[in-house]
Amino acid sequence: MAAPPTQPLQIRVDTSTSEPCVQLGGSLTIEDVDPLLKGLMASLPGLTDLEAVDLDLSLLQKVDGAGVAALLDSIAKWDTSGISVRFRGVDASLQRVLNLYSDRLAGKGSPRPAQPEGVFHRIGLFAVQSMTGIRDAFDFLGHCAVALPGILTHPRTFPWRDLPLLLQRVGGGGLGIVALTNLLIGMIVAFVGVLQLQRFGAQHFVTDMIAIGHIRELGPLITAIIISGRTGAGFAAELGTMKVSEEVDALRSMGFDPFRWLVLPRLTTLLIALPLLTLVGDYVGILGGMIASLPMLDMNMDAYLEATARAITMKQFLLGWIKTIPFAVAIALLSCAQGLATSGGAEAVGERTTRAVVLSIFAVILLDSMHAMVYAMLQI
Amino acid sequence: MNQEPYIRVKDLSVGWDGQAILSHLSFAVRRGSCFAILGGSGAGKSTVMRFLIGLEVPMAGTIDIRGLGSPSDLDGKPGFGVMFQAGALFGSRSLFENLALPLRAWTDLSEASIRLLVQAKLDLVDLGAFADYLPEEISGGMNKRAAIARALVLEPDLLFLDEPSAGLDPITSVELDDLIRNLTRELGITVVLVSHELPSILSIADDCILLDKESEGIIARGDPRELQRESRIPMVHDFFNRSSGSTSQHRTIAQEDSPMHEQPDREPTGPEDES
Ligand SMILES: Nc1ncnc2c1ncn2[C@@H]1O[C@H](COP(=O)(O)OP(=O)(O)OP(=O)(O)O)[C@@H](O)[C@H]1O
Ligand SMILES: [Mg+2]
Repeated sequence: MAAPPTQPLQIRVDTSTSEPCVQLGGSLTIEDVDPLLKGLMASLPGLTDLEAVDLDLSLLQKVDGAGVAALLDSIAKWDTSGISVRFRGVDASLQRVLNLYSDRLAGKGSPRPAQPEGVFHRIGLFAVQSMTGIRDAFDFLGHCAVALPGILTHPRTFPWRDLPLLLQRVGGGGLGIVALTNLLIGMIVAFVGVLQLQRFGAQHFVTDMIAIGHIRELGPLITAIIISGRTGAGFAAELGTMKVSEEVDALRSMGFDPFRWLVLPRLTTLLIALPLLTLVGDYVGILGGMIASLPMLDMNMDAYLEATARAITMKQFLLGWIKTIPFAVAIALLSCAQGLATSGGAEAVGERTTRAVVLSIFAVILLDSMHAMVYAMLQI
Repeated sequence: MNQEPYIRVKDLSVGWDGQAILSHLSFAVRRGSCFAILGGSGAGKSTVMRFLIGLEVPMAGTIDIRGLGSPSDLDGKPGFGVMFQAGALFGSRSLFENLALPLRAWTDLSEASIRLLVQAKLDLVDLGAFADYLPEEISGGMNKRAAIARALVLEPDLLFLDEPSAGLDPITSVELDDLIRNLTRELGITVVLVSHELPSILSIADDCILLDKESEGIIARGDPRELQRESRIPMVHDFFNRSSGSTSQHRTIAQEDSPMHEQPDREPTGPEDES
């Protein structure tokens, strides 16, 4: 047998008698929350002079938690405007639902402090955050420095066993993308170079341009940027996840310094892998340049290779290669620092990872331009 | 059981981001006893534990373990075993590796002995067959048990356990209680336990403190069985005699006489003989 259909919510306000009364009928469920709030709001002006009002719920046919919560919220508003409410027609089961919500309404406990708004607030906040950011960075460097000698006193809290795996992940795993990117960049430079130099009849110098340009600038730079995105993100996400799942705390509680156990091996790995990857990048970049430019030049391969070999001097090579050391330090420390600074949940890990990549790439470019300036000043 | 305090906490304030959530905590843990930190969800039990094991620097007050001062220097062989609330096993390592890690770092044992000891500890928590599993490949309760095994692997004489039996089925949970009781009674290990599983507290804890968020401190202390029988403070009574009756009434009453007789320097009394 089908239950009789529930009527929609009805609100009846009667203030004419000596006992003013608000009567609710029909259904009071999640769908009726909006009509209820609107209806009660509309009835409020008529009630303002009153001290007390009866709330008759005897005609309600169906209620749920949402409806009751909305009702209690409205009553709380009446309360603050000085109208006391007497419930009528509340049966036992409705009373239980009312109790369930009335105990918990009006958010017990302290609300989260509001986030500051406004331009000046934000500027101030930014200033404070940058200052603490700088302080945190030095803090982090200090921790690393302190953790370093511990390798001698507690050699087994450095993960020697993990190093090969890390190297394989960073170096071996990054090889393909580093090679491909350098190849393409080499080709792009060659195309542009040949066409531009042709205008002056100097297209044969493209070998010098490609070789020196790549080993001194583009090879180290492109490789470091790729590794920032690949390995820097990996480090930050891995350490960030360990941080939020309390694995870092567990490490600390077991006497493992997180800097020695997590940061130093990653730094070591990058210090080994980045120079090696850069070697590959240099080589492949020049190869790409040759592939692109050779068909456009009236030169055979032997002559091209000879010209390239003449252009590459030990000095030029080292001026480029030496930069991989500061690049590796910057990428490893920045991304590990971001990872370990993570607090919160999955979203925080993503945020920190993004920041790690952005900071690493920016640091690499900044360091590269500083090198370029110093080289220019020294005229080398 | 020895009467000398093993951990002594004086006027400790704990909190986050410079904001204290609990202050003026004072208590002492006797050697070889099982000490429970109780309180509702969000009361700050895990936070207190983080400070006790030296992960955070006290905002005020002092913590003294074994008369050696605060545990803030964690670099070196750990003086205690810790089980975190969520287990905190190393996700990229098998259970065996998780347990072997501290053994490799802090003992000179051969690989064969390490294998044996790890297996023994995994057997202790019924996970002998799962040594080669990754934490993500076993259930949440199994993760907790593995974390307890890891906390025990260096044979510490002090153990911090954050809700070891929460989320376990009743049978496993009782077995775990037996294990913890045996650790204290037979091996003399001091256990500091965070919990809100009433049956397990009543069966294993010698002593306890009850934390409360609203009064930001300790609202009851002593033998949990005694507190259950005798406490007249409504909130404490409620906690130990969880009836389904309305707690809201009690809550308002409790708030009025809330800063209850705190006795910071009170030496905990010996446990009542269970009967
Ligand atoms: N990492 C954190 N950063 C900031 N505040 C935190 C952090 N962890 C916990 N808190 C705050 O500290 C308070 C106590 O949390 P805590 O985890 O200690 O509670 P608990 O008693 O262990 O609760 P439960 O029984 O649910 O585990 C909470 O109100 C929470 O907001
Ligand atoms: Mg907790």
